[in-house]
Amino acid sequence: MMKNKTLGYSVIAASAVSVVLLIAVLVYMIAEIYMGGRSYLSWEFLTAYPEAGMQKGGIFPAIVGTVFMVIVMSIACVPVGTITAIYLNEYASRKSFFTRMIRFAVNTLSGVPSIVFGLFGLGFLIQFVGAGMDKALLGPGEVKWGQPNLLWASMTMAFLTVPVVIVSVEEALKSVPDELRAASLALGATKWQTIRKVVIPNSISGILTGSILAIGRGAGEVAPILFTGAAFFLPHLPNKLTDQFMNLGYHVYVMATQSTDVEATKGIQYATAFVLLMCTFTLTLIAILVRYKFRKKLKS
Amino acid sequence: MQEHYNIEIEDLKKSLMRMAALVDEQIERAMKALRDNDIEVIKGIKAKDLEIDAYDNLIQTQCENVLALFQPVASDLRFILASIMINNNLERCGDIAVNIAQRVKKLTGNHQLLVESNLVEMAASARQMVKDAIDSFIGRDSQLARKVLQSDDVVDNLNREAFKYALSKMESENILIEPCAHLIVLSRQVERLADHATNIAENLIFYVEAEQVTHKKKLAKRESI
Amino acid sequence: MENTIKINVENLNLYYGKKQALNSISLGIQRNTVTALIGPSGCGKSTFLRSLNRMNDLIDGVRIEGNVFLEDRNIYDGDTDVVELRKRIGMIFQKSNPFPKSIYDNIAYGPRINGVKAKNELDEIVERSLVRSALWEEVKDDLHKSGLSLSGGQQQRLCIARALAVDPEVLLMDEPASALDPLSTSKIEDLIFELKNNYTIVIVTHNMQQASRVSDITAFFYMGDLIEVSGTKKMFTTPDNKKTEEYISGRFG
Repeated sequence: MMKNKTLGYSVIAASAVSVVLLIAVLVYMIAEIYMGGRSYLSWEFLTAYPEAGMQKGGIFPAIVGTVFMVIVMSIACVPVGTITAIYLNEYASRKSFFTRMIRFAVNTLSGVPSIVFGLFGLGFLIQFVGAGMDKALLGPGEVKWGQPNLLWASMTMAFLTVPVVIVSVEEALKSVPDELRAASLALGATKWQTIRKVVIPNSISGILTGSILAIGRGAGEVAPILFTGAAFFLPHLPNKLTDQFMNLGYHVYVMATQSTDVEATKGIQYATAFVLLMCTFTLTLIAILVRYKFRKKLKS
Repeated sequence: MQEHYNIEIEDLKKSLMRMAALVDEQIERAMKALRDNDIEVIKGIKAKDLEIDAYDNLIQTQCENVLALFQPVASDLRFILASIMINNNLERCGDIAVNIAQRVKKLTGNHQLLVESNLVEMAASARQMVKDAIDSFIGRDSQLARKVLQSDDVVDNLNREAFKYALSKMESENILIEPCAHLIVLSRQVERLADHATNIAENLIFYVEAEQVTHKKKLAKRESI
Repeated sequence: MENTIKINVENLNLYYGKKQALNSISLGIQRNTVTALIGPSGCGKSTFLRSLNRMNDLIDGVRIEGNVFLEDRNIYDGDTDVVELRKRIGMIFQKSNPFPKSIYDNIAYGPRINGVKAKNELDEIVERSLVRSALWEEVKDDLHKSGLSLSGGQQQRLCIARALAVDPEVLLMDEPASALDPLSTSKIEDLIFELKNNYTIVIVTHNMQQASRVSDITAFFYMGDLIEVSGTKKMFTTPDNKKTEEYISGRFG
């Protein structure tokens, strides 16, 4: 009897310690980054171009590049992921070989290291699809698609985030009780009508949250865009799909490893990292607010 | 439902059997008085009747409880309905036994009338009918119950004979008018005893075979007219 | 002589994979009556009910043999429009399942799916359905509050109103009152009694007294077989089959 109580208390104590530790680490990490880059953070920093080999100036093009990449990535991964999830949860027969194949593929994909996506992007999208497009559409020797650019980088990133979207949308769909589907079908609705009018409206919060979190993940990853489209310094902003682009995460990486004077740029690295962190936090916060708003609506 | 229900039904059956035994004893006393002109046996017969009345109330309550608590259907329901009817009939038999015993007292000096009019024989038949009817209920024996129904005609005939005998005796000897009047009433009471036995048998048949044989003969006669 | 049978089931066999759940059931459902399906758990009564509006199609691995005629058409024919079928045969479930929408939108769901858009038409349908399901007086002042804010008994009547809104001919009810308190149950039973004037009703219930109170015809199922079907009065006073008598007397099940 006493043993159970002590066990109970020690579990609670251990959990409390872990939580405190976790929060402490998080706080320390944020604090260190902030402290390191504090002096560089300013409105100019966010709106100016880098100068003097990244040692001065701002990160505006990196912000813009990141945003564009995330937008194209989202257009690619959210619809595909959502539709796949709807198919898997609502239409697919649970036992068929085809369904099990899809699930296997999704599960495997979500475990693939991000650098592998990068290599895939390079080898398949750029050197095969892109090169093929050049050969078919352009004259000999001309290269337009067969090189790193916004399109290929975003699509590579999309491959990474699609499994995340699929899984979270499926979770959201699963959370809609079957009784509601049964009620709709029993009234003479088709399956698609049921999905459109009952399932999706009741899982929209989960779908949105999942998509936002997936997008947040994509915004911060660097490995997939290393060789597929990110550039260290560009004098102009990207404005078409064939352009290359700058990227916050990539920017930090390059400054930390390849700039001419690593020490001098350290402050800017920290500041850039802080900006990236804040972007991720903002996206997560938006996801939480979306969920909160929909929960309130459902309760009323 | 089962455990509790079975206990209640067993209690009900015990009450009915106990009451039937009491009624049988009362009828036996009445028979003794009739047959052997034994008036000693009449003492205490009224007191015993109070016991029967008490059982009447008890069984009534037990049936009501089963209906309210268990909402029985089909044969369970027919058992309760039959029990209520049979309870009534038994109680009336008890009353009749007391009435017979008391009326025999009034005929003490004229016992030979009872023998000549075959009233003793009639009473014995009626008594057997009641016994058989009760046995058929306890044993759920619808064949025995049907036998009881047939015996009713015999008793009816004996009643008519006794009535004719009494009339003739009253015509021939004025002094016998009063005793014969009692005789007629007595005969009627014995005939009623047989009727109640018939009712008990009919209720048993209803319970066991789900067939309503009550009033069948009368209604059949009506329809054939 | 006018045909009084609304749904005629002929030799219906149903298999869940290898397991047979219904054994050659033949039963005629009379129009404008309440038919109660009774039997112990797992006897197949709910499965049978769902076969009447092909809701079993939604379950993986279900196989059906035999015929179910809705008037003169076999609903298991290859060219049957299942969606249309379910508009003619509505269903009420054991646990009430209103949509997380307003009362109005719950009831208007069916008509809207059928293309009814005009507000005054929808208003009329909503009111008529709520009146027919004896819920109008209780909710008429606020049709826009959520269906989920109603009590259990009211929610079930809302589901009935929702089903009535598509103007079905038959109502299938799977233990509609089993999750309700006695007063709500009584209201639902009164409602069923009234509805049978305009609809044909088939109700599955595990409550014997409910079957006896509410139905005209009772069918007793046991282990996938239809043991006995007769008028309710006869079923509960002089059933033909011994198993039936044992079940209704509470000896098992």
